[in-house]
Amino acid sequence: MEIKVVQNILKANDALAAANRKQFRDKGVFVIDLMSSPGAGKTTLLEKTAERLAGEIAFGVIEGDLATAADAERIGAYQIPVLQINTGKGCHLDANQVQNALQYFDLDSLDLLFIENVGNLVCPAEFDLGQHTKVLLLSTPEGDDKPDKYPVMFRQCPTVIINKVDLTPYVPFNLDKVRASIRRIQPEGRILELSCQTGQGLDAWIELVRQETKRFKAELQASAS
Amino acid sequence: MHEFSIAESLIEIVQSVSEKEGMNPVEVVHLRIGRLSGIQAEALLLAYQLVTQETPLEGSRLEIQEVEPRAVCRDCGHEFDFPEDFFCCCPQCDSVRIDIKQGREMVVDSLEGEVANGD
Repeated sequence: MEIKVVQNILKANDALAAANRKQFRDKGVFVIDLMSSPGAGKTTLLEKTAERLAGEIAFGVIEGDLATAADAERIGAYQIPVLQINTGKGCHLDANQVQNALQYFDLDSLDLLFIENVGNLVCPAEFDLGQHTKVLLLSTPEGDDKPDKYPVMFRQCPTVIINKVDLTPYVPFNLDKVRASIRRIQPEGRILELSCQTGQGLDAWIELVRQETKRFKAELQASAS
Repeated sequence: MHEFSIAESLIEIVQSVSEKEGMNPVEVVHLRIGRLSGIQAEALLLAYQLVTQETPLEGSRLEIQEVEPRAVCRDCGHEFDFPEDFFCCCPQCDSVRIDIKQGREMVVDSLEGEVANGD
């Protein structure tokens, strides 16, 4: 005998992600899922963001890594609320881990939360965390073929940051080619080019974070009135 | 790459449905997996076999039906096959404003097995 089921395998994760999203909305916290390969510069970007936005936008960070609290310690040095999730062998964060992490934050006091996902261009694409937007970081030493090789991830992220542009003279990375690849995969997205080391392009990133957070708050207010 | 955690979520669904419907044993689990879902069929088959060992689902097997990606144009409504390299615009009106309509799903479609008092 055959029984019809028709259930999404990830429905448990999706339900938790929806609950997270509702909680973020109720508390007025804008949430960005930050993704990249290992070593592309996610934590450094958050450090630079902390330097520039401290005192202006109250933000927290959830750090996802297989092991160590190294990233949380780096962020914690900026007096920012941070929690490290160690996934053990897990190649991505899931909505349940994020939900468990939220009890350690005073969400009422936050405007913005960054979730730094496990460094990986494959698996984090599958798991909704309840974020409002996704930002993907690609660094020049990784090579200019990454958008073509990992299109699922690039398609999902409306913002792609090309980091370490100060290294383009030294590594084989054709910026024009990468811009064209990203635009073909995600024609409606935006591309930022920056270097966390030299500070080039950081202003545009900070302004984007500022505007997106403001826009989220304004939308909340508009829907409440 | 995360087929084990997928297999675990999968058997939770299969166990809860089969218990509710009184299906024992479950013989075949039919899945629909989109080609853009990031799930590799062979890895999922192996993970399922390992995760079901020494459980009531041991011996049941997965039948995976792959779902081809399809997209729909937001401007003219035309529906078409979405290329796996993602380099794509609407073949009818050249718009790049397109939505992927299918190809990312991971769905438990149906279960086959014996149901007590079933017909």
